[in-house]
Amino acid sequence: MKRLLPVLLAILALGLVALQAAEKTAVIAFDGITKDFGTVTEGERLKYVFTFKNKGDATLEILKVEPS
Amino acid sequence: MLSAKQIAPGGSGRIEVAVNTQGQTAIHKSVVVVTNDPKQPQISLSLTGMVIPEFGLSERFIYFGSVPPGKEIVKELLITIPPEKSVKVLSAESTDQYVAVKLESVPGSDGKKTKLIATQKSDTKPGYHFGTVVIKTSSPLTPELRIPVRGNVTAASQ
Repeated sequence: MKRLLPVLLAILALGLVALQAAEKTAVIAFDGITKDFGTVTEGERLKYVFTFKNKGDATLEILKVEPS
Repeated sequence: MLSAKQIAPGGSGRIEVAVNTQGQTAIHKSVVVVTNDPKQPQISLSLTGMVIPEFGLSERFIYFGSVPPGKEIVKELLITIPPEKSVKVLSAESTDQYVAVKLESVPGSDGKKTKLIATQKSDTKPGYHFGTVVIKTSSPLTPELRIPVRGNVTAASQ
């Protein structure tokens, strides 16, 4: 039994490592998160597009987008 | 505006942000994006900028004050156009029947400075009166400038 214990512990540790490796996550990566329009004229309607990628291995979910 | 709420691994998305500069002197806008990325559950997108008026006004409103009846009061306001802008001031009208307005180009300004002359008529009836001076321009961004105008003619005995 005493000889078996280290072996069992080693198997348990390997199992935990394998479990963590199997966990998938989404990773959001924006090309940029700031935009400076410089000097503009009052009345101009401005638009800007922020682009991003999912660099993870799980589906990225955008849960909310709101002005703050 | 968001392109899609779910992005597959390796996919990309877009967030379009609109900014209205009307009535603003600067742009300070933030958009918060909440995601299921455990390391970036919340990201703040930031937009900045400076807003300059297409037309400079020396006054934002015209107030004739409290005056006795029978008195004509004249107020002036200067409209300035930045040198790089090719817009023009076209005409001016008052919605207040007791106020007459006219435009005069400032000599030597090459059309970049125009004086608005507002006159409270001498036959203005006692009491408060108010309205708006509407200045029409050639600018598609600012087709009109609206300037509040008000005055008070006190009763004859005061």
